[in-house]
Amino acid sequence: MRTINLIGLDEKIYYDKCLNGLQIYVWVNEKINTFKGALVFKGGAENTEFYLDGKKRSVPNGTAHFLEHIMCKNNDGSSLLGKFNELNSYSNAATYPDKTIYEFVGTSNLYQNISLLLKSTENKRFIKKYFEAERGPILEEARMRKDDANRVFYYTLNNSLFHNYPNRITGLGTLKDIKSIKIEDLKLFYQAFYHPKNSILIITGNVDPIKVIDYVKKIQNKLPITNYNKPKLKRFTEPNEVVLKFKEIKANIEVPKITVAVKISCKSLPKKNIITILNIFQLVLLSNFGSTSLLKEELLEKKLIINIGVSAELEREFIILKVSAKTKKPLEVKKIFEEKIQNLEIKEQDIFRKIKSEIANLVLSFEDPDYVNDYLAYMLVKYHKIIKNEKTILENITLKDVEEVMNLTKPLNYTTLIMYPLKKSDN
Amino acid sequence: MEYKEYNVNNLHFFAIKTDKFKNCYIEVRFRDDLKNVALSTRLLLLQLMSYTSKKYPTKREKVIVLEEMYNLGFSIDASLVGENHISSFCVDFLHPKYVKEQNYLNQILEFLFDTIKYPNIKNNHFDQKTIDILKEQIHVNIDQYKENPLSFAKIDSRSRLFKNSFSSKRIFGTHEELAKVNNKMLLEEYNKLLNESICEILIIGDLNILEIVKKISQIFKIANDNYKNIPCTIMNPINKLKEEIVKSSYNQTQLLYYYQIDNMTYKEKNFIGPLFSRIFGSANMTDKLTKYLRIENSLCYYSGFISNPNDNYGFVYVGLNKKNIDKAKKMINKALKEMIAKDIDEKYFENQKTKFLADLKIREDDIYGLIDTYYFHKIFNRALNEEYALEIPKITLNDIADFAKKLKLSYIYILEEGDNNANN
Repeated sequence: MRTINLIGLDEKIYYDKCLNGLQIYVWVNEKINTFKGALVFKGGAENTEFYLDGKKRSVPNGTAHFLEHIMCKNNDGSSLLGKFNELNSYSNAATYPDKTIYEFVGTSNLYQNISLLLKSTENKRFIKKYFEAERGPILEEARMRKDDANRVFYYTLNNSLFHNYPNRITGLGTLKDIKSIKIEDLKLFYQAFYHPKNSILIITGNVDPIKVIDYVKKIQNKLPITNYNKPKLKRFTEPNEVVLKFKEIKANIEVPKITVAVKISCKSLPKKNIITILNIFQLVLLSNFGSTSLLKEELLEKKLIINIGVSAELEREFIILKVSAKTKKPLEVKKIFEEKIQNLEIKEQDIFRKIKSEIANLVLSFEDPDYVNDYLAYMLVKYHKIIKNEKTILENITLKDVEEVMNLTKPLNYTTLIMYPLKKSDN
Repeated sequence: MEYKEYNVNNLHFFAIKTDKFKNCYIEVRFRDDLKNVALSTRLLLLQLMSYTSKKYPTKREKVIVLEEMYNLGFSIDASLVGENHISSFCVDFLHPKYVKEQNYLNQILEFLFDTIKYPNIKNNHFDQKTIDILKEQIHVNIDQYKENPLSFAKIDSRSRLFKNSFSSKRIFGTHEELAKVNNKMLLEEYNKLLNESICEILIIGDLNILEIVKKISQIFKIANDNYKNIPCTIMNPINKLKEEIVKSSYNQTQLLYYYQIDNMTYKEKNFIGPLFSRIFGSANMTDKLTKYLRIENSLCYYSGFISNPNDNYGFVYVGLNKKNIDKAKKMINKALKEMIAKDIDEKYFENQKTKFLADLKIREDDIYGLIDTYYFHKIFNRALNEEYALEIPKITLNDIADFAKKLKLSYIYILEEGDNNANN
């Protein structure tokens, strides 16, 4: 077992690996009652095309999510979640673009919970009757999501930004996709991605890290070690340009919504830690559009916006900067946002004040087992490592760093999406 | 963990000293009889007081100060409990031991109480520009629920079922009421807030509680002790069963079954009702509704039962395809019949009791949940965890069946999906 010290946060992550390849990460908070366990498989909704044993394989959209539902069923068709219930725990599962997570949250029976979580994904039996019975609830879930305007907005924006990336298609699949999924697709996905060598167990909360790691190793090391041919994931080549400059859509919302999204190739950025770069973009966006910006104050006073939000995200080989607003005058706001995003200012005082508050957020976040568990899963799948010095990265950002990162080649590639409310006559 | 209660200068303090968390939390609650609160005016007033103050006359200046205080979380809230209206001012902050500034805690208290004592009023007027900005935001928030079919169904059905009752009230008030709010009304509401409300202050964290109580009572005074008993339950009359179908453009149909539950005892509200709810409709995929609606008949992705003891009713909700409504109705009735007939596995029943108590332990890890439980115990006679630990194990299947018999189906509400919704 080794420990990873998170510099400046006075926090430790305990790490070990089982003979079958399963990795274990543990974080401890002895002051609380709760613990959370998560088994993370590095395969998710976007992995619909891959090479296995040298052969190109593909499954319909929505397969990873359908499999997640089936993994949560026992062999008698009842819900696996009921077994966690018997251990006084709450459990759930979720499919992300790049991973699938099975988890429990509880206060007692830790080792039985871990054992149940690990066993539930080993040697899964796929039973046709229960597979078919689950299609109805999944179709209803997809119909429910169709009423979620934010999701519709997200996928439409991705279609304007990206030519080839798989994030353009809903992870659940369309109703047609869901109807087309066969039990063989689930078996193939399971075979390709559900192996200890492709998974991580993360335990956080009030636990004894040495005992947890010993326990997991003891039960996992007894299992036969099986060969794993890790699937080769499809590589996507993505042009620097956006697909569309501007798009307008309608949905079941009350007030129009606008987002201007900038697409920046990571290759065009200075050679710096990606966390530093993302932090810098976030801070600059906040200082230009956030609550302490003169622009936001002016737009509110002129009744041009209801609110503004910003984000800086890494999407494979691109950084996407987003500025969004609810507005009754989206075309006027479009002009202002598009102009401002091309001319972002570096406001030194603002940026360094915001760094102080970001550090406070980071310190506070290492308290909640749910948050830390999600954070570790995110880091380990997205960046394949834990960032040990996130606090130091924030503290050490200099004006020169900000200037270097913000020295972007103009004009920027951006797309604008406006979503309008449906009128009664549209129905 | 130490629970403390103080009454100083007409301020009622409820505090928990605990070293469990890295943050601390203080909330000032002004509690009023709902009858005496103009909902739209009160909400606009709270938002105005949160947005700016005399010292920080623009939102921008206020946010800069919050960021300088290590991202001090400052917020306002408004909520309804029975006939009580609660207006809250909250600060959520890093424990002072993590910051360099010696005066950090005093700065926070000054910020919080300056906000309450010194709103941005000049020449007897709130800033009109800010009023306009906030009115616009609240108008938008009033309609936000329409973007989600389940939220729409819940709010629309409540307003139809409880037309003239407090149970149909929303914290925002209405567009019409909000449009009429003017400066005079805001000033009157502010005076009511300070002079007629019951003032309760909640403190939680690893803090010197007595010192904070002293400091607060030095900087903030309330002229009168306005303490009075305000009912926390709304007794809605039993309605004759009716069914309504509302057309919509959503992609999915929502089916809601309202049951009125009269004369709930203390034991039913606190212990039997919540345990019944789990087994009937909210036990993480093992409850009766999920069994019959989702697992055995593939009719839906989500369903549940929410009991609202403050308004003597509970309701089932299901999101489904409209062609499956009749089947879903049969399944809901079947699930309830089984609850009445005590058709519940004994082992499962005992497990749900232990699970109930385990969930309370999880809630103890939530700083806001902890202080809220204590407050609700003191003010609204809700049980504390210690009492749950004693009472939950004593509940029998007979108690559950007796409670199930009290559920009187009074309203079926269907929010029907649009006709043009493609199934692809």
